[in-house]
Amino acid sequence: MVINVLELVPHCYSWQNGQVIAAAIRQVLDANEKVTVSFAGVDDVPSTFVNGAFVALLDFYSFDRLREDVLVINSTRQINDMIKRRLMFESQRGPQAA
Amino acid sequence: LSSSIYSLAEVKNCIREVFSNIQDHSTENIGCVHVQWFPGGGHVHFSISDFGIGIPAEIARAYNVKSDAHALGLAVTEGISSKRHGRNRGAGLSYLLDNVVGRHAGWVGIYSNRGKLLASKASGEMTKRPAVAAGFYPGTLVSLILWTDRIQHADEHRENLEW
Repeated sequence: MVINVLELVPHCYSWQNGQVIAAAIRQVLDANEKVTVSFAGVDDVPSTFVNGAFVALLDFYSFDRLREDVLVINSTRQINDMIKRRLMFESQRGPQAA
Repeated sequence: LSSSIYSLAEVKNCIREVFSNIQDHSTENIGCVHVQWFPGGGHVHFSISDFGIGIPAEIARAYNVKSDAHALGLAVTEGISSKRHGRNRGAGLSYLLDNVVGRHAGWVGIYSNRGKLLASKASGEMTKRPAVAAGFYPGTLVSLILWTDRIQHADEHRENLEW
């Protein structure tokens, strides 16, 4: 299953934009499938978007599951660095208040 | 600037992170930005400000702080935020320092209430110096300086995330 982020949100700026992507990812993961997230057309994303789209998934899945089953393609250095930085830091920090 | 938009992707995001902080933390919903390029000196100055309650007052709501300078030192530490909720997790200012100073060897000054924090790179290492400010800033002022010959070049390049 491939999710093209710009088919679901007009841009990747806000936590709310990220929450839309997180909901789409959850639908696939809950069906025990792998999901591919394509950032075609997106050059960069802020931390608040990544918090909504990926860090929020740590409330439901382990870091290892996300690393194995969520593939990110058509991305950029900045987007990949931000996703890795946020997920690695938050997975080590542990559960957060909602 | 001769740098490509891709070289400045992180800097562009840093500006966005500061505006996100204004939206998430400030008691004001308006921020302003000023950018000036000095082609003769080869540097670009960015200043972003709001007139909210300021970072020290906001941090003091969640942490025991000894001074406004101490609060600014906490605020640039990843994971430290006055609001530990889903959308804001204390990543913005540390990301700003890591990229403007760490990646591009620029300079950052954060002025808020009676504190200031200056960050730069010397001998390959980033130094962060929180201190008492000479005056009082009613809100927060974030200043960045980028030297155009230090900006790390990047091409338009699509890649897949690899762990």
